[in-house]
Amino acid sequence: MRTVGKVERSLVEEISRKKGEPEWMRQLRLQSLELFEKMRDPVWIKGIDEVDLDKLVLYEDVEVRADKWEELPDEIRRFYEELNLPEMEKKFLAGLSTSFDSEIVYSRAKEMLEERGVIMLPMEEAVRRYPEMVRKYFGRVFPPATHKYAALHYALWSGGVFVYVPKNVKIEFPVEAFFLISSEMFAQFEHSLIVVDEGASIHFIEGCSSPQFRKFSFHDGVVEAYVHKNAHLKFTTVQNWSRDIINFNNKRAIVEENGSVEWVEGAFGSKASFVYPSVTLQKNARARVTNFSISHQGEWKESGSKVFHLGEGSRSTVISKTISTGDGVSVYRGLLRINKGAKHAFSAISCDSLLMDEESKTFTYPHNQIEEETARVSYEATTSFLTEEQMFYMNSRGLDEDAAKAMIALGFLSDVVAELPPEYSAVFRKVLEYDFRGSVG
Amino acid sequence: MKEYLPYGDSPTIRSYTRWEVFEEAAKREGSAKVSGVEESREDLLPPHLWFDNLHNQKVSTFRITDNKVSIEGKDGMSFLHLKGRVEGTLLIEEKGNVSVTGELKGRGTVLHVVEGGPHYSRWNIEGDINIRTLVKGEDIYLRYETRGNIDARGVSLEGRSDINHELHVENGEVFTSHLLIGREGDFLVYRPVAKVYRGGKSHLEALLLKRGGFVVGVPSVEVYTSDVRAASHSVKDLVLSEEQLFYLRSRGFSPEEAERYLMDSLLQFLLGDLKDRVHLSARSISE
Amino acid sequence: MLRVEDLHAWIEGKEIVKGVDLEVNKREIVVVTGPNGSGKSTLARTIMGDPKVEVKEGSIIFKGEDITDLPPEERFERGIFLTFQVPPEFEGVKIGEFLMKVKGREDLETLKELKEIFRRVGLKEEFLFRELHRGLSGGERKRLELAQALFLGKDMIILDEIDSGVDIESVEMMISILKDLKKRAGILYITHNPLTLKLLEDERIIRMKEGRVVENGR
Repeated sequence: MRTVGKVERSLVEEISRKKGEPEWMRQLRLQSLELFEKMRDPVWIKGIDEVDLDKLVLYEDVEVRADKWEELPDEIRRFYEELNLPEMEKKFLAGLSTSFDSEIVYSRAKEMLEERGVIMLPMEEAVRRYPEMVRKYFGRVFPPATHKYAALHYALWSGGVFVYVPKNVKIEFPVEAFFLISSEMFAQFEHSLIVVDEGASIHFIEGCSSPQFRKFSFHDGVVEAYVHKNAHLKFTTVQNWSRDIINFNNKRAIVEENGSVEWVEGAFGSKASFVYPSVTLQKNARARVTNFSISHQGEWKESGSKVFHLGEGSRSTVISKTISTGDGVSVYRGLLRINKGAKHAFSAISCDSLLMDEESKTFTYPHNQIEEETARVSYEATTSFLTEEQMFYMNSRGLDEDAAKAMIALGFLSDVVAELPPEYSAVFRKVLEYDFRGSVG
Repeated sequence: MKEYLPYGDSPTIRSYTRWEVFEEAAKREGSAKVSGVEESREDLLPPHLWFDNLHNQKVSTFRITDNKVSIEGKDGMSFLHLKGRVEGTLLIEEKGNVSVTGELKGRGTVLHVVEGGPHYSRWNIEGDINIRTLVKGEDIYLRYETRGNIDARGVSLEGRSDINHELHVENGEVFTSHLLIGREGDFLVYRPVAKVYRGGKSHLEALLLKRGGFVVGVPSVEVYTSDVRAASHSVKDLVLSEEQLFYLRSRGFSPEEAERYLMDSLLQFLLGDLKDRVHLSARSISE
Repeated sequence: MLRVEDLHAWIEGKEIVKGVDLEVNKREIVVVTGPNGSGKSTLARTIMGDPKVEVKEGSIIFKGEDITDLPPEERFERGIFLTFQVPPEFEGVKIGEFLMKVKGREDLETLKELKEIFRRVGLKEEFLFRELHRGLSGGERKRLELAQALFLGKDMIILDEIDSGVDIESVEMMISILKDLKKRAGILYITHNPLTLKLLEDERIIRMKEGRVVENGR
């Protein structure tokens, strides 16, 4: 993979100035730009040949790509028409509108969160209003030096959400950031930071399984999460972006003693996607990472997880389910590292890939580095295929090829779907069906 | 189809690039090339085996008897290129400072013992072959590239070693099972990559027995079409689970007998005739 | 031959068997049935000496000897055999070699006997060379456990749901083997398969619920 084009220093300074940022943030941006220029392109990335910064990086404030309903690509319009959503929701989901308000449910949710002391703000606003708190965590969970595109992100970041849940506050209902924060979630280099203080708990949902339209075609976001002692965070992302987008999404959580984190990551859309939700676990901390993705004709989707066990008694479970159709490629890339001293750490990883068509491909690259002899690790991976036998069975029960594929895919993903909130799984089903009926190959 | 490089150079995945060292050394010495044969030593060999020896070999001890090849390198690095057919069982012993490149074809079993080090060996193996590998020593880099029906099993212990195995399977079957026994100060890596094409079937397995040290099992699979029979891989800790222990005890084994029996069976399964070269004290097996 | 007296068995701090009395004599089949979670399996494993189980009260007497505190390998020596409901897998352990080692005889006669038993339970001879329970289907594992019961010739055989999830022909095959085993052993048969219960309706049937025996007798 090659990076071409340039990002001017003056531009980064301008971004910082426009946002009215404190000096430390400006410095962080400039240092990150330097890092980006010094670091090598990652050679292990196949699936994309070139990232042309001049073409792909957008500096204006986010706008929508189409102004009118009719200008949307056919498949997106048709999908929403079938879903039968209220007009406003349709427009919002389709990316036609950058804000969404006045649905009673959502404003009540906003009120409830405020009453309980939960801070939920666009990231830029949080930097201005709570600089000390933000500074404590920003760039510490996922440092800019992690890789070249993390550095680029820190130079250009914009948008995203900051969430702080105070000690012992437990939010029972899933918080759908998508509706509450609206336009901030649509940025190209959005940076989200979630801090869950001791004993608190929250389930945060980002994205939506319905197809979405984005102005940018290259996304390089970061989600940092810090889970304090005894706290819990569940972070669900379902992405179904249009099929010309390249998606790098960098997610990492640090989990303190006895805390737990669950990453649920679903990738339906985009052309190429590289997302590996990661966790660093301290003593008795727990992590559960559930990944699923569908790679259609001409697509390259990578998923996986990087799990670092530092503390004793830490436990992790990673489940990855990928589907490839047409000549799509699904890749699992995972790292499990258990440091010496992480006594009795336990990790179970299972990867399954389903290949639907003859040219479908899947590559699995697990990497286990175990330094602690009392740690227990189990890793299993299997590949399944859509057989003629299965297709005949479905056909003989009245299902045509596409309906059969959707049914089989749904069955394959069933334990993953169980992790999603109920309203998501209903849309999920529809999306899968639509996916197979509409897909090429 | 483009060649995909499976290993990352991202900062969080340190991958071996020591092959660069080997390639450089080979270029310097100029003797790892497969060049013309000066003389073949067929008179020492059974008819179905013949070996090319490189003209400027610097091998200190080099004996071939029946189905056995023993090479021991002492001062500096010694290079050797071997080429032949396997029928029945072939034992290849590499000891000390040696670099062996080899090409083997046929049907049968290759018993491969690599000891000492530094050691860079690269084998190209094709056919219906069982490989049983035993690796113990310092700075050992062993690479297999195989095609056909390959059943590769083995054990790595004591030292610093890295085994790469690229298995290409089409209309056939590959199976690997390799045990890494690590103790304090050891650094053991086992890296099979199965490239599965039409009609292929693969199962790759890394077993880890950790008593300290750093142990890495990285079985990777690339499946190029859905028209394959099966593809699976796993990494497991070799640990006697409570349930397994109860099962064996309820069939008359005492706990110590159970451990020893399992270890024995496993070594027999992985090494076959090489099993007796592994001496594990009771302490290194039990927790 | 086997007498269980007021047995209270605990696993991980929970009482699973809450005071069970039971008796199995030689050349007798005692069927234990009941819903899932009634403690049938735990009862079986406790009789075999599962280290995970803590017996807080009661005793197990076998052939006149109190074996309540004996380790499982010694109970096996004395003549008790348990088939596992979900047998664990063992890397590298060849089935044929394992069974002959457990039996303690590795001659050709014994091998012939084993092959014959495999044929009888419906396992192909090639299974002798497969790894112990690795990659075997549920049904194949049950058959392998049953083969061991036949092969090892113990006096007290405990069969733990050997017939769950198998087809009708297999159940009939198992019952016929059971009747053969009855000729020389005492059998404790744990099941909730309705066909089995029908075929064994003339034997002594014990019903368990929530850790206790609620029905005992013919």
